[in-house]
Amino acid sequence: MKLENILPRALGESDSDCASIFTSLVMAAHFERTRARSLGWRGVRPCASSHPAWTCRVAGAESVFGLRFDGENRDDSPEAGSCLRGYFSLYVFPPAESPLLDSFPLEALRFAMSPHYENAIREFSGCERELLPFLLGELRIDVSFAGNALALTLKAPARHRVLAADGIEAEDGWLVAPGKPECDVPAFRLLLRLFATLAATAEQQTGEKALVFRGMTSIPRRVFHADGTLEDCGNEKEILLSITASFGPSLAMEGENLHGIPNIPARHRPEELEKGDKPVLHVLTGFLGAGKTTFLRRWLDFLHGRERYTGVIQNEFGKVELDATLMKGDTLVEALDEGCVCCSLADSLRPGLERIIAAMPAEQFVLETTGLANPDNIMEALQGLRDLVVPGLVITVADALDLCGKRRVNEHPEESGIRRAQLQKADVIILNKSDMVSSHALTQLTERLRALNAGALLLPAHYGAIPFAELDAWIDAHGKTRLPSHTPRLMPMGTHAVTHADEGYEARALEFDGPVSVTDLEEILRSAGPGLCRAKGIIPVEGEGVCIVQYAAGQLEITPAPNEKPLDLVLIGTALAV
Amino acid sequence: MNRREFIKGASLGIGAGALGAMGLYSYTPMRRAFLPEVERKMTDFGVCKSVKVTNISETSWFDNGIFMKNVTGAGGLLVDQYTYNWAPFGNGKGIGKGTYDEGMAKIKPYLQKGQLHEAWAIAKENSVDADNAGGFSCLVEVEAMDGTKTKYLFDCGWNYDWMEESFKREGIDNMLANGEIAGFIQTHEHMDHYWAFPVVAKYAPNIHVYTPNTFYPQGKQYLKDSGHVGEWTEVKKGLYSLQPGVALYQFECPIIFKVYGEMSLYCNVKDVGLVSITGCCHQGIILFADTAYKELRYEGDKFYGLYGGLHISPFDDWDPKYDDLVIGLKKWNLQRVGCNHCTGLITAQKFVDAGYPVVKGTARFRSKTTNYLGNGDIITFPG
Repeated sequence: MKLENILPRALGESDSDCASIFTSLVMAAHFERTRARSLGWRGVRPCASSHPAWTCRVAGAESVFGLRFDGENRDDSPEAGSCLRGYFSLYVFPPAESPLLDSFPLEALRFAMSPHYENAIREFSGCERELLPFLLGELRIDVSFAGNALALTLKAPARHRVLAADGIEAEDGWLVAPGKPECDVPAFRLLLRLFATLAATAEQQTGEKALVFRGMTSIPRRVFHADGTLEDCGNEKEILLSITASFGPSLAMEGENLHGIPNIPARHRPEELEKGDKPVLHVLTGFLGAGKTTFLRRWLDFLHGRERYTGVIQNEFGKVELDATLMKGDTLVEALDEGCVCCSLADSLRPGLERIIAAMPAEQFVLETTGLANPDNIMEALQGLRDLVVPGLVITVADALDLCGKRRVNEHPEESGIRRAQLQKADVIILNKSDMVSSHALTQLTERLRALNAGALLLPAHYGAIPFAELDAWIDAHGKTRLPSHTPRLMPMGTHAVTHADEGYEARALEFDGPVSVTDLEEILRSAGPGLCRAKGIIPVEGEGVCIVQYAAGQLEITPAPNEKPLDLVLIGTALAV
Repeated sequence: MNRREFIKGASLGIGAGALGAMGLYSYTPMRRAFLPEVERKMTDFGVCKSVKVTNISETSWFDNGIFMKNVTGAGGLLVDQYTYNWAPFGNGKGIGKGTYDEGMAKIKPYLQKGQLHEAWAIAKENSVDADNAGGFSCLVEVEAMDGTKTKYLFDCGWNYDWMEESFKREGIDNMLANGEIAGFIQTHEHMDHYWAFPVVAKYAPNIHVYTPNTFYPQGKQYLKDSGHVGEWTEVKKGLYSLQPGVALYQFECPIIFKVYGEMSLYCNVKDVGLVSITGCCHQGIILFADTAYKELRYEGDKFYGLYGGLHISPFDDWDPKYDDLVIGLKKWNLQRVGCNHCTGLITAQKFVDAGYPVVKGTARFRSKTTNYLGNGDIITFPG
């Protein structure tokens, strides 16, 4: 055990060295998100308005945990050598609706039912007084000044009970009968998952297997009277259980009676998607012009701001590299051009994947498909790539404007063909451009989409912006079950999933020698016929210079891009009159 | 009656006596009685009149795709930055196989002669993607209450050539050579903030340097190998006062690429409020703001302004809806924000969309958006 690998300075410089050690252990475990998650971490929030404190979640526990650094003292007793002992109070905050809260002190339940509960947990440091009824245990960090020993100890009542001597009377009888416990919380058990995650983290950071010990002591059980006084109960004891994960020479305190056990109990066992053995491949679909690239750029900004590096494989229908041009400098992009991965390019996906994984062995990749790709066909192809990647989410960007567009009565665009396949196969549906339709239309559309795919997470978006952490939470929620997209779908004999070839989609490229006026451009799009779904390219526009031109769902967007190299204008649709 | 119904009744007064009599929470056996409740510490570190920040460079690297390729190719975020084979510590052995000593051996003869362009050229031959390197650096000018102005150089960037060019553009080279800059603040040891230090030492070998006291041995050695001979203050965890109204705060935290500790600068501007200047804010903006709230007394108890790279948090939030810098900053009611560097282009756009008081830049000298206070741009507090 070398403390310098955790805290690269000598102990004794501050009055909160153990808080620094805790910060260092947990932060270093989070450098790589996959590592943190496979240890069991499910989010940490530091706060410091009063004492250094943290709230967190860990795998396998529904509650949020609070840890508050209380202080530290030096122990020079002969048993331990010279060491520092830091103390942290441990709080357990079950969700307000959890039945678990019914075993907590009534004061805890009262506060949890108040509107302040959620915010008080978030602002834990500074709200400790109100949250005291949730205080259930103690964490101790012992560390030797020699820097060769570290121990983490959890201590908490096996069952935290306080007896109500005079009982608590409700209108219709005893809520708590006289002499019975007012609360009965399995404190140690509730805190064990948190401890296991911490101990596993320390194992990883020290590079050593912990020696694990358990201990047991008792204190008098407390009993309270109607007049508010508290006293020790003469004949009942509260059992305090402890567990220690120790690295290096023992730092046990005087009088601690410890028994070795082989392993850290209740340790998190990661699922395949969390392990990070192989990169995860998310599939991004969405009909022509729905806003896939816009969404992707925002998602990448979110991911890369957290050092979750993500490579992109892009596939475009028609000979244009517009999407790759838009992403320039953002990330590593592997472009699979002309054709569509869902049919003609299934064979080029493997070499494309291999190339990008070799160039950038990142934790995850996104396959941005053409607007005409049918994810059913892609998911089938992905099954054959399991040696390279673990399939992740299928995210479908839906165009609210397009789906709410004028059609014949009772005919909705999502009810047929590729749009339908993309929406049905999605784990997550991003309802983009939701700001551009009325709230009434949006509600109706949401209901229709729910009917089409009840299992998907539905997130409304404006310019592709969603709370991106919801995607991670959605994966978590399916940790033990399958994501909807991972459920194999057997096609009836003799049929195949619809492809864009079946529906007669085609792409036409137009090259311009000189600048085009906006009027001419509108005319070209109009005369292409009602089958036109999408147009995009980088072309010189009269009076504007080189511009990115995008057309979808009846909307033409022209954005000046003076530094870009012109690319053909590609029109995609059915029965194009070009 | 179940407990929840009872509580609902109690809030109306029925049974409230019984609840009140329980002494509320004093019965938890795990409460540590010996610790006093801590109020806000609110250290008075004085006031200054105004602060001006000139962004010398915020572009740490120019192409994110290349950078990510380097990081993942070398083995990821846990790898020691000195072993990436990034310039100037290239040894010619390829990605992930560098060492400080081998890299330094190749460039040291040039560093000693102040031939930094030549040193970088050698490094370029022996390292990976040297041209992708840029750097983070800014000049902080503090006006004291009596009108005296003090300049601090805040980080020094990465690429020798790029930083030399950027320093010249803003006149930093002359300021350093003329002894106009009172101190050099190195927020943390990351390459993009620190590795162009020889450019500083070339012009001002005697400059007073402030670093966290948790630099690793290579980082400490680099200060010497760069030719620095002046005073060097290693700042411990917590507050370190530079002058009235201006203080460093060292946050102890491990950072990717094997770096430890980051300092931020707090300025207390008279009648205006607290102005914070950060390098990357690896400790996270939430902790950063909480710490100021607890530790410092500042004008009007107002969190007025912010400049620099803004990392929201080193962790995922346990509640996904809060994993957003825009929401994270809402609580503080900032009046003036100059963001750039690691903030994220789209996050900056979201600030603007959400109506944050973002001071726009000019997107010159390779800065990518006007939502960033970009290279060559200036922000003043108060505005």
